[in-house]
Amino acid sequence: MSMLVKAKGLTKRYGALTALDHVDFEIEEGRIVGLIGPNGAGKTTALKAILGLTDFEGELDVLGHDPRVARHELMRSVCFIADVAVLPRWLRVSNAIEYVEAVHPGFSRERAMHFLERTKIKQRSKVGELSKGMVTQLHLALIMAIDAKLLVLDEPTLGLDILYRKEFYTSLLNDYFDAQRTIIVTTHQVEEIEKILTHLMFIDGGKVTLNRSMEEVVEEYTEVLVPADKAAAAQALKPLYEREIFGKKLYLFEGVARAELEKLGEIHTPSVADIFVAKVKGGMQ
Amino acid sequence: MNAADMRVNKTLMRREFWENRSLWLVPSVVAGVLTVLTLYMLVAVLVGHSNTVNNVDIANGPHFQLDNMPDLRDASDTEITGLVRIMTGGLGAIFNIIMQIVVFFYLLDSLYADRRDRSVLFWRSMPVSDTRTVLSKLATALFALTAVTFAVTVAFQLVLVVLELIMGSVLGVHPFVLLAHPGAFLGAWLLLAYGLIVQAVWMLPFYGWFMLASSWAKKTPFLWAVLVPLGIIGAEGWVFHSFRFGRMIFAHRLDWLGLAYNFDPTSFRGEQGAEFMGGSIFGIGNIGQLLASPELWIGTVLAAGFIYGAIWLRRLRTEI
Repeated sequence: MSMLVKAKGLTKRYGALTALDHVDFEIEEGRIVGLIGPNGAGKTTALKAILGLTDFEGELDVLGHDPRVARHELMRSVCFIADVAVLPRWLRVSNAIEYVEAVHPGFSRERAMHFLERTKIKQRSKVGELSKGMVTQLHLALIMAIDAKLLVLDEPTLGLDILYRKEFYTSLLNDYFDAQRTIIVTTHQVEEIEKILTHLMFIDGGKVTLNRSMEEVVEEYTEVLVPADKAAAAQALKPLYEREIFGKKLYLFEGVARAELEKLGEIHTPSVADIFVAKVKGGMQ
Repeated sequence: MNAADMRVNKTLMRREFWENRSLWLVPSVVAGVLTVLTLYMLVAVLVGHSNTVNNVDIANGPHFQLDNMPDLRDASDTEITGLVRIMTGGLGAIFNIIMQIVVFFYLLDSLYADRRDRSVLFWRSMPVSDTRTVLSKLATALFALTAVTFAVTVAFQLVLVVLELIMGSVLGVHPFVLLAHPGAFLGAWLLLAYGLIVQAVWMLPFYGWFMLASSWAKKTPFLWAVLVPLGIIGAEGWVFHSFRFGRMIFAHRLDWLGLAYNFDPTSFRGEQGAEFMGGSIFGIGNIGQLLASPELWIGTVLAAGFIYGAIWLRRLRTEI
């Protein structure tokens, strides 16, 4: 396993605002990392730094390159889709394919065609004539036809309907992902990607607040539905977060042994979204 | 440079023509309109001719006197050469002015439009360096200014010659005089190509400046490109009561004509007109003097600085 991304003391300031505050993290090859955080937490800034789209302080190594100075070399092995549909309106579908085929050594026209065949997109169409969802489909088809080591997806399914969103993630797993590839994905629809992630990374207030494998997360976090009479006992174990549900208390614990929690009530594995809310809100309390 | 690199460069320039169809559409449309106008005049002449023959006078509509048309059979070789050079130079000047305007707006948009619609994030997700992107856009501008201008001028001129042949044969004027002088055309085209290339090199600092403005501006690169020099001119006039900067810019734009060609505007007058017609004045000038001109080199260094700045800003100003 080799390290794909190494960040040490990664810091980015926009004037008085600190978007990333001395962040350290590492991303290994073969992972699918979900980067989760509230708006303005520094997710997009972190991605931009990795992609060489912004200046920063600190150290950042992506595939052995400093993204600030070697963006175009990096882009041979790194692909990304930014958080909005960014294909220009004047671009014809056939020209887009011709362009990427010429400038990207890792692009396969056959693969792009294979993805496009499943859509209603015509070769002669211009991007400006396509619906928002179709533009995203086109962009995804272009990017997924590139044999890249690292794929960065910032809100990739924004504006797509549920059917296509499901299809996209399925095809990402089945047709695209393998042990040599790494994917970093951010999205607000956490529940959609929860099942495909191998690792989870939370960013909040410019800091990485969690960076674990999904197995570790499952072991580490437990949700317990506690009847009112055992609430005091649960409180004593210092839950990360609590909320009321059907007159009972629902506690989320971090790093407390399951055996101990089973005595208090019914235990569940919390969803990523629940853990995220607990981490963000719990941090505020 | 290997084949793959060539392919990338070619595709980058093709991309520019996909996006900026005005680079070839505008001169083509103008040439089309001029062709239609010429046809109209040709028909008018023919109608006028038959009217004279039939002694019918149509009061309205254009009327040309055949007697006024020069008989090219009497013309000497030098006069034909001069005539063809003036024709080529005149048409070249028309399309040159059009292309200068088209390219001005192209360059202002070149590093700004994709930031405005955020497609820069797509272009910069491809393994193409910023240097290469910027240079491909500059190369496209220079290609449009030289090759497109040249091609449209020559194509339109050929159309004119064909129309002239048709008209000549209908009117019974010896139609093949111009065709008997292919050398005059080749010489004139060579002169045109030379002039366009000299002008492109000479004007590089302007093109570099437009690209810098395009790369810098968060909105309206036009205002940056125009207001900054105007501001300097205004400030100079206010503080020093002089107009050196402005004169430098405006004079520079035309100085290449005098250096590139044996071109003397006074030759239009008087007896020298005959010499001008002969084409000896309107010929290739002293290339050594041109290359030795400090203005050319100062301009080139300035252009390099502006373009370096445009590349540098491209990285920092991905998002507006």
